[in-house]
Amino acid sequence: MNIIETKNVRKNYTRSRFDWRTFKVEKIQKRALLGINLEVKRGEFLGFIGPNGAGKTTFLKILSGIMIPTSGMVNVLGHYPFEKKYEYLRQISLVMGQKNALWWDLPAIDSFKLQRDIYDVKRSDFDKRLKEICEILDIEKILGRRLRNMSLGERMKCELAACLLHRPRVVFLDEPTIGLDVVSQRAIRKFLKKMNEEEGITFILTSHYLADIEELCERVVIIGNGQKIYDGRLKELKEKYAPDKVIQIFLNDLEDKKKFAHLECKNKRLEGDLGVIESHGPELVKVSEQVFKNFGVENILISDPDIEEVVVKIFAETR
Amino acid sequence: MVKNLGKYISVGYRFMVNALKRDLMIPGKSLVHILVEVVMVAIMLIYFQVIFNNTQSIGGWNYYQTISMYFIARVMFDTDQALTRSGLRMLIKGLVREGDLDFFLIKPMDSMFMVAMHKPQIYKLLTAFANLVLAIYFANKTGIALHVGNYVWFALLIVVGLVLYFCLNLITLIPVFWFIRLQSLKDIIGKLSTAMRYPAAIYPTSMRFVFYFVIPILVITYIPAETLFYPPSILNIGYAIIITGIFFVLTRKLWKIGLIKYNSASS
Repeated sequence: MNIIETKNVRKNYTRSRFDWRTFKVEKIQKRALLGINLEVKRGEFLGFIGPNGAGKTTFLKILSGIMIPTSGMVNVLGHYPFEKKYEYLRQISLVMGQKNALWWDLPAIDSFKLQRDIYDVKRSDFDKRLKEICEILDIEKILGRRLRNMSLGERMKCELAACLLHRPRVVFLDEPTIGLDVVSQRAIRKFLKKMNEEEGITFILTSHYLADIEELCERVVIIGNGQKIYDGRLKELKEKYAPDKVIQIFLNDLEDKKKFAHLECKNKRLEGDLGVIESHGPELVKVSEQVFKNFGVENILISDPDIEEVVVKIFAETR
Repeated sequence: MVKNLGKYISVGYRFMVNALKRDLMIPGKSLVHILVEVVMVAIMLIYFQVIFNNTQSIGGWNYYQTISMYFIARVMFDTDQALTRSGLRMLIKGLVREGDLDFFLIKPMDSMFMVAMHKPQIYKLLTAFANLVLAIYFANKTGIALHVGNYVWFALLIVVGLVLYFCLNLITLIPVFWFIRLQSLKDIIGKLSTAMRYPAAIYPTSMRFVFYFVIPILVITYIPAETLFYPPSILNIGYAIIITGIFFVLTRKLWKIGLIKYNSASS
């Protein structure tokens, strides 16, 4: 069953500028979304990818009810989000990686208590839930520390904890790992994955870190220039836009380089001491046979193309 | 909102508790503010003393009545600042321009309440209370016999006046949804409210008309003060309640229109 459904969602930003020479008001219109259709099922972890200004955050804000679309149908959990019905708002949450929703000068626990009151969570439920989340995120020790004295990673963990205290059904995540170190990024991904798998929370994630998308999202939507370019499984995205496997061979000496030069295949190139071949389908089998015949196994690496390369390729094509 | 009154009270209380904790972490800041407040009150008392050395009354009000009204006006300013002014200033300062209003809009509570109440200044409540005590003290020094009825109506009109003051403040700030950078808006009513400190009779008829019916700042202080010193006028009390109701409905309407216009900020 779909819990998010949108049809032909458009959003235009209009800015007025007064021209002092002609004494006329000029209206400048920017089209942020050009008709987005989307269906999301309960428990999905959906990733939005797109360059800056593509319309990802705008779409997220329309889904959460912050902004009103210029036209189109939006239905989230059976509600039109912009009506801002409390029944709807109780079931969603939003985390923005670049902003703080918690009180800057106070310990995180005080902001959590405020969340408890806002969402009408019973004290016993709140205590139980807080304990659960603190254990997973390992933030028990920092609950009494003021937010401004926390590291960025610790702050983001607290933001995530606050947004999940009231057990929302849908969570919108706008670049939650931005600026974080690798360890914090991993901890947050692990937490989100657990919440998604164990509690069936639907997550809608936008991120420029494709490692987030690769690890968390089975399904991705690519937005470019306000339009949906791709909507499907991440694996299929690679198959569609970059079907080639990448074979890398470490070439130890001149003899290896000569052997590499004599390999019969189309897409091969030499990058210093590294021979790179891109191939797929029946050709891949033939090439692999040649490679394994000529080079030692310890010097061969076969991998999928880098997801970042795939996305860059798609953005370049749509520009 | 009425349905969830208990929840609103508990969230309001939590805002207060958090603000108190915040202020206690930087006690010097609050102490300096209170000190400035005391100095300002002392200067105003000297100022009124100098004026009354040269005249018997202002607009028909004697020294103690005028001083009492000054403190009533201060009760209004300080209570407004204690509860909602900082929150409303944030609306102009960053909530709309930087998109932080987003966090208020996704909460299952009234966004106007959340924005207004999210940054209380506790020390202002202390000064408001001190000013109330001084207002009553000077009112009793006027020599006018004050009855229970005077106090009851006065208390009601103080509440009505606070609501109206809040509405006037918010109405002047709502254009920020359209024009985004309008920092100068935040003090319009603050500047106008200087006129709230004096008896209505000192203003020419045209200005009195404006201050009663167009920008009804005299309803905020003068009518409560008048009700304290003179027999309560049902006409005045009724008018204060009706005009406050009208402004409240108008404020709610404009707030909702503003939210439709709100475009947040890009990430």
